[in-house]
Amino acid sequence: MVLIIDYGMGNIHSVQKAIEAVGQKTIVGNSPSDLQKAEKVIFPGVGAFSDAMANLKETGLAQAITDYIQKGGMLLGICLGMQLLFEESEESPNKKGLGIFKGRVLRFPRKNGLKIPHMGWNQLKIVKNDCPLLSGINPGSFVYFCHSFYPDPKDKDIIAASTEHGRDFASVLWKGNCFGVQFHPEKSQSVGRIILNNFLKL
Amino acid sequence: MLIIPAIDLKDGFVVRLYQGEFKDSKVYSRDAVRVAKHWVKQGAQLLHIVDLDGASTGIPKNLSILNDIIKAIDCPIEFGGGIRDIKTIKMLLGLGVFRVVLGTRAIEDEKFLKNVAQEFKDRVIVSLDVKNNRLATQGWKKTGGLPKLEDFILRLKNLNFSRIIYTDTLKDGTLKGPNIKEIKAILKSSKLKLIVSGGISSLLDIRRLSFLGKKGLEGVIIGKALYEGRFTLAEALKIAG
Repeated sequence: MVLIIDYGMGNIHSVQKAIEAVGQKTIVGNSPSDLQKAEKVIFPGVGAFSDAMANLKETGLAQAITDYIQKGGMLLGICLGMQLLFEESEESPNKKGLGIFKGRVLRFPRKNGLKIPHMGWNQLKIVKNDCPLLSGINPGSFVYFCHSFYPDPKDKDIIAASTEHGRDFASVLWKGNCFGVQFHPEKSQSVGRIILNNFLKL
Repeated sequence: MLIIPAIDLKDGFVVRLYQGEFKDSKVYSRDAVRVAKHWVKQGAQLLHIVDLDGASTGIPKNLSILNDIIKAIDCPIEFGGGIRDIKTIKMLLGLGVFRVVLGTRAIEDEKFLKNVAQEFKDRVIVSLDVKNNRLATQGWKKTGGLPKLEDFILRLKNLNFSRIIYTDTLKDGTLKGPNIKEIKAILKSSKLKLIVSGGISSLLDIRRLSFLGKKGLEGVIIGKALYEGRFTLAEALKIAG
């Protein structure tokens, strides 16, 4: 059973549709007990880091997600969901993240014509060929982004793919049983389907 | 390796030329939007759209069709043909083009090249259209007075471009197979990511090119072979891995 965590931060429906399109049943849940029953967890989200963390704390999901990952559960964070796995974000300096990935989430600098948010299609530079999430994905493959912040992991070894937008930033992260993508696989057509399918097959 | 269908536009129609010659053009469709939708439905991740009227006159002429295509599909587009100033690049990126393909002005005007590299980075890509090992500009008509191919590649490298397009213009539209020897040489000397076009005729060509994926060959643009039905896009995608 695939659990999609719904903590009031949008875009659940498109994620659910994309996963059901690759033939997997999903449930959408927002309580810590849902995580205890889950075989796979998708942690999506769009919006503000601080609001999201407040919701996660309030509902007890923050602790439940941390426990789930520590017990070896497979989790895929998407966009804000991935960013929340970090220790902190420039979006809200006083709010701590989940701290599963060491490092910070940074804001794209506003300079010489760089479009922010970074919105639309962009390419993956594959750094780790053995990342199971990227199995069957060609270098240069196109995925769909929509974000103003990007992850900057302390341990560069968890970067499985990067993307160029004014600078190279980490667009796929992989640390053991925990995966994160900055783009939206649910909006990334065939490449997104392969990536979701890779995660669900793990 | 990405398989990138080409949509060449002339007077609003989807055509293929033979070695870039306008007199040898063949119309494949009068509905470019439908063609674009078809390639996306078949699994294309990127479309390569060329404004042939733009390439020959220096001013893009098929922009309303380009706009219709952008609105109709959910897929990035690379667009070139007659783009010779910063204003047009900005306009195209604003329209929703993923990447603007430059040729003539980028090759002939070093200062312009430097400016666009700084301002647009990977949102522009330079197409090296090569005729007998020499660069060609102005709709592939001009070869004299241009930088040498290897010097120009070095110039692109120094400006931090990460990828280039290479077209063997004498192979283009001929279905005679790609110039694999030259492709290998450019991969080796440039160390840049490469998208190639010209001459693709069979799934065997694609298999041979796919072996160069590890060496930096990122994609292959295919035109006539797809329009002539030599193989389907789905078959090509499967072989490309």
